[in-house]
Amino acid sequence: MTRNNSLLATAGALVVLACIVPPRAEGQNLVRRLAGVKNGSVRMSFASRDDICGWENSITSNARENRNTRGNWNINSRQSEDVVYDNECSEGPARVVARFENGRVTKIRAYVGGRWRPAGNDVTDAGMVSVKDATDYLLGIARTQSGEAAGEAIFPLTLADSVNMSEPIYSIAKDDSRPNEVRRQAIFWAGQTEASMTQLTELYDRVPERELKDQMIFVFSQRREPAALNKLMDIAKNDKDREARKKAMFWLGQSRDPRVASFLADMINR
Amino acid sequence: MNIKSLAVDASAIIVMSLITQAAEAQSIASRVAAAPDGKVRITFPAKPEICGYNNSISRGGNNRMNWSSNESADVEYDNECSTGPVRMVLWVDNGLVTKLRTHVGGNWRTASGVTDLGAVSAKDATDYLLALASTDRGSAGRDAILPMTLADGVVIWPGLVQLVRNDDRPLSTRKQAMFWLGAAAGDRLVGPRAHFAKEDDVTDVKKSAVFALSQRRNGEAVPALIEVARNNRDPEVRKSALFWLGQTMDSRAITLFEEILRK
Repeated sequence: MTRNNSLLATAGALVVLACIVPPRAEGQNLVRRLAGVKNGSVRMSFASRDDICGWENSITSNARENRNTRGNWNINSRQSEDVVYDNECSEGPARVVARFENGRVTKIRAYVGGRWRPAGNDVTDAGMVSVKDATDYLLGIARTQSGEAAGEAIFPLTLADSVNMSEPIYSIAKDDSRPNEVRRQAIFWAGQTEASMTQLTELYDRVPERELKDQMIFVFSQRREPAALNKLMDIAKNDKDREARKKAMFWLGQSRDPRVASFLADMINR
Repeated sequence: MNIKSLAVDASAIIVMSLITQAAEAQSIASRVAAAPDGKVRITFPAKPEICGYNNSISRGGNNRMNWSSNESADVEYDNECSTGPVRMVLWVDNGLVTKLRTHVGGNWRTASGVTDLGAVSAKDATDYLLALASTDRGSAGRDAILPMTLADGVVIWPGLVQLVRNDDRPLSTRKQAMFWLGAAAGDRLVGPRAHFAKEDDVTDVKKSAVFALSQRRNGEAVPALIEVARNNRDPEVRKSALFWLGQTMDSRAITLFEEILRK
């Protein structure tokens, strides 16, 4: 009887373990599983934030209040080539398609909601994966690969549920060793997520490349807090780079803040 | 007696001259109206600083208007900056002008079924074009304004002010007139910029600030732009303010343009 209980307990523990192990094993295996793909597309899905919904190639945030960023990312207006939608605001999951050529990821597309279109012969469906596995995989691409896909890997990170990806995205933005295109994407999405104005201001002051400065100026223009406008005015007034000053002026002109008109007039007449 | 008779003769000459000019402008309109359906060609003297190539017209090497990169169907060119005359092509349908294109320089291509009204004076041409812009409700009225600005030795701005202030005219025609009024005021203030003139850093950034200011909504920036146009130390910055005021339809800007152009 005692022995039976002990056996039952062992069996129960094994069942519990078995339930726990597969996700971990899956996480460990995800990179390996996908690394086996030479050509074609890989689909994966993961839990998405509950404040976003998707429609074709567009993703909208429902949580615009009390946020510093805008809420509509329109990748393009064409019909999605991977996902079918039944309604115009389809919630979760996040869907990622990674295009492989000769074993390398060359293109990444991201969606929210809907359902997969019927797959062709060259499509591997990795199924529903955990947020951790998905974000680790995407971060790996963004941190190590070059080419378009490395930059494209950043956007779907921002769709993942219950994780704040602003720190890892910000660290890519800061990373001098990453290609500028990847850093440009990281800067944009750092600005769209929870990166603080202090972080962004520090980053602006340390990036020497015009291309990245331009992106940061755009990011400031998209933020809604007063500190972002202050930074734009500081750039317009004091930056050593004439083009940066001009760009900051341009975005100030688009702002509705009442301080801008008198600032610009002062700049012109000083 | 002699003096009196001279005065009478002189006034008779002036009256005759006015009548002749009006008649000539009238005659362009009536000749166009009488032309068979199809294209009508007219030439008149162009400002010397203007040159053309295919569908593009430049001043001092800067493109002014370029509506396509294709070869002109009506004018052929031997070089890329061909000076005068202004060449207008009007599309006439049942006596009405439905479309108007402007070129500068070059030579007319040989064409059949085209009515060529030949060379007319700049004054007659601009009188005709102003009348067209003041009556036509389509694109021809709007497009009549550009060739007016190219005519040599004619003051056209009072006519442009009339067009801008005329609420009856289509908005596109009034906007076009306003644009060229702003440009004319800028030219009066500073003159056309020298070819390849280099701008310094400060001027360049200030001009960006002027543009940014001009983007403020609901005419918020108009008083500030007027202040810049009147009083800024840098003439290029003042000219830039006038240019952007020319993109508004603000009556305060029109008044400023008049004030500058009257001087």
